[in-house]
Amino acid sequence: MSTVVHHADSPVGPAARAGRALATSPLTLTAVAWLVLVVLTSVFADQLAPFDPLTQNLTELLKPPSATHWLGTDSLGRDVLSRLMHGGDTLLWGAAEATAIAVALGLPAGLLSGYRGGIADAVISWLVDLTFAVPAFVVLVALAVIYPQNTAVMMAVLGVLGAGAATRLVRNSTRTVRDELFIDAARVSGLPLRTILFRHVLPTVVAPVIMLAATSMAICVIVLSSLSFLGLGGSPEAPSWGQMIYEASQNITVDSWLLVPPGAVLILTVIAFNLIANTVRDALPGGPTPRPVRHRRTVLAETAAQRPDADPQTLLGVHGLVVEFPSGPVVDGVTFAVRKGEILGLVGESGSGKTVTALAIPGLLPIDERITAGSVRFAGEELAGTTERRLSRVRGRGVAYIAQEPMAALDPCYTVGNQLRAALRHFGATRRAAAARTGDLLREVGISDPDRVMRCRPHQISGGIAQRVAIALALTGDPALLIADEPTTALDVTVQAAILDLFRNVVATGERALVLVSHDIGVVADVCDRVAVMYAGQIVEQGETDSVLGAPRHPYTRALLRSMPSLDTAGRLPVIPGSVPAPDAWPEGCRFAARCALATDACKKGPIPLMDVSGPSPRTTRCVRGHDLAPEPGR
Amino acid sequence: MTPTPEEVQPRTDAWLLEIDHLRVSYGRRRRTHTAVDDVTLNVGAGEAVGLVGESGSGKSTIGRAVLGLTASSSGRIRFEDTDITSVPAERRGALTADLQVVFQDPYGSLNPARTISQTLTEPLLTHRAMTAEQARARVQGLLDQVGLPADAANRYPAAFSGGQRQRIAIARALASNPKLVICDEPVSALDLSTQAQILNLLADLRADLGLAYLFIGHNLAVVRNLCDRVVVLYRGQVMETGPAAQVTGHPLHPYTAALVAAAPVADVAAQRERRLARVTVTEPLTVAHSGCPFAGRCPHVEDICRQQRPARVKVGESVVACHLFPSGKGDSHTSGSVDEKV
Repeated sequence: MSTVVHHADSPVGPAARAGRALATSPLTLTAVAWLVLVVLTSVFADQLAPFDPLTQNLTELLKPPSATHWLGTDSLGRDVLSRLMHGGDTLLWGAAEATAIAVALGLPAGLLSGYRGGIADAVISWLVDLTFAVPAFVVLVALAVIYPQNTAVMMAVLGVLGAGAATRLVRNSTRTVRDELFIDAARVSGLPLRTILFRHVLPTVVAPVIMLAATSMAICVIVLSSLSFLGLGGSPEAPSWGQMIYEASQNITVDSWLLVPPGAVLILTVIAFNLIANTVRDALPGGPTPRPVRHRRTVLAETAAQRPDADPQTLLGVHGLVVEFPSGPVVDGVTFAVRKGEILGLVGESGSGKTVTALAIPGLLPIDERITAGSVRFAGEELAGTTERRLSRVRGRGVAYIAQEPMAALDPCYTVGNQLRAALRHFGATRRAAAARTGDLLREVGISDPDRVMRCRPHQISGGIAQRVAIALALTGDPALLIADEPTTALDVTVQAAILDLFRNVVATGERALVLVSHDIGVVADVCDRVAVMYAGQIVEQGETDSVLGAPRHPYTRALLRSMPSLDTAGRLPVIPGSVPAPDAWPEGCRFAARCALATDACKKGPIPLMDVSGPSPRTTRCVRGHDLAPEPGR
Repeated sequence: MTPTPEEVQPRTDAWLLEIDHLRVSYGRRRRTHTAVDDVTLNVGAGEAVGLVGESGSGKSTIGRAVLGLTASSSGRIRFEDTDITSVPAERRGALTADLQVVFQDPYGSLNPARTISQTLTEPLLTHRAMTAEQARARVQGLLDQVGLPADAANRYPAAFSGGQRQRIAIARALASNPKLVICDEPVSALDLSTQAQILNLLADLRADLGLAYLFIGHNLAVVRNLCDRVVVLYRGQVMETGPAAQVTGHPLHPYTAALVAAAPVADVAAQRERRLARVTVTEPLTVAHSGCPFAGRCPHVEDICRQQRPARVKVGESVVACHLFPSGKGDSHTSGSVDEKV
């Protein structure tokens, strides 16, 4: 599932994403419009304001809104609307000044500290800590005493103090990008530091910086308003929102309306800045992803009567399974059965649907993927479309799942022994029985020193031991069926061999079965009794492993085997041209036809059914020319 | 002294890359971890040398040290007789054109916010006095060379599959006409059918352009397919070096033999034989710090293996570091004969 081909021909850089998010959210567009309005009215206040903000009219004191005074008048008869228009000026300029200084200092300092590390990082980080230690508001109040009514100086200092946060943000973003391989590739290309920083690092820190700037604007507007509320801001004559609020608060018992216009404008402006900051943040990597709608499970499970009478030895029967993503089907009519004591291999390349099939069996599909047709019968019980409650009873006790990344299956906070005991207790063991069983389980999965491993936390053990522990964890509920998705792909080849031996032992009792999902045909050849080869959402060939691999009856299987490099030969490999078609490009006929050397017109006419192949053991192929492959022995 | 490669390997002046007693350590004082421990290997002009090992063997670290992305602790790296041991990538100037890389992860190695054309022209416009027009023509030539359509140039990496991205990464490496390309697991993240396409492309490019490869991988069959010589690493040390067919066909070192035996083949009957024949070696919880690094897992281990680091001994066309192949009776310091066959 790793190869997801996006057809969108657009950049996916964080800055581009943030830009798109800003332009598409109506709420954010409203916020931007509001800020534009505030800025324009502040800049053109002289022309736009209906009255002079300072002219007092003692005959019109504390008037409510009227046709002449849209927002009424204050205690000195001055027009509130005009004062509001003039009052944003100092505030916005001051906030912009502080923000610009914070970014101008923080951006280069953060880039240097993040990219270079070492001493530069240590010194800069120390300075950053210093800015965090300084109580900004106290400094501002002190400054207001030394430089009375000098907003420019106060905001410059606020900007310098704010540069600490900007530096830290840029540093952290830079450090993440610095370790990307494309930066290494650029370094190997011999690009100068300047180019690497500007072309490759800067674009990824732009969006967080925009977010920070918007937040900083909001904070500065509040700080400045608070200062003028305290009478420490700009000139007491010049109107400002904070001062208007102060004056309104003096008259709150006489006329509470006065508080509304400056309060509303201040709050709306701060909200607008914060909205923009949030939108940019959400567009950054790690932001919340849109929550998909939970579909109702509509399942067309066939009744047992419709299906051929099941063999009592059959543990799992998957029939006509269809799994759909919101974009369409990705698993298209998969049918297979697993008997007790058997290991079935599901083999295929990325996009073949093998992992989705494996996840669908115990109902572990992600929230926006669902089974839309077919049946999954496990030990006589239908799992497709059943309730989450019944599924959770089956999971662990009936069906257990082993993931590719063993470390992901283990909780880093608890010791191995703790996790195993907790799982055993969950399945009903007493405290004493769980403690005793833990050691046995670890020995069963081939750990020679269980007491020691039990005391380890996941990071203290190697990948091979971790996968053994993950298998032990899967065995705690004594499940009848194990599903292992690429369980050895992340492991070294010598460790892989030992884990495959372990799987063989786990199934050897004859009561368990294993479905092993793998892209590695060698692994399948080593451990699987039967194999189902998947291509583009379908099983294209199924049968006993030695006959399928020894004499493939589907051209895809044959081509895949031939394209494997071997230990005995060198030189050019016979390749399959082209690539696996994406689900939305699946043809109506044979899905492999476009890449197949044997394809004829008949292959493209319509869906190809699975056809039986005569032979000593049951065997099927989805190829109209399957018989043509018969005389030719496989490799 | 242990025999140096000059004594062991036929000394020619054609070495493109010479790595001499390289050591790379991380951390400080007592918490030091030595990722690469006294590694000596050479790559000739036009030669493909495979560097095989499991995770933690230090194979990628060697590649990064050669590229100037990781600092070496001691030893020497020379490229065409220029000492590049302590020259980071940014300060290599014109040399970067000769020494290029293809990384494993085709998703992380391309900047998602830059078009393919921007990625490919970047090194062209930086180093070579190329006009934008010339660079555009060169990009078209490169895309054609790696089998991508011409209209790929104006797209972003997100529009391509893993195999196609790896072709783009190869095109970027080729842009400056390099002499040596470090291939750091270039096919490990790819599907089987895509892997074969990329391996063939690498083989063709080598034949057409006379490239040399230092091919880092964990899959012996892949390395055998592409490389002339193979160097087998374990925990930062070279266990065995020799012609690819020799190392995979007749491994000398017990570790190489374990690697070969563990690599599964797609033939059920053959795989059954291999499985029955192989000696399972479990991974130990702790690692000894003296003697042979493989001693804890080796089926042929003897007392000397835990005490003394084995000398490099020439056996046939291979060089092996194992006490099973003594260069003199037990004492490698006085041993002179490196040609002794065992």
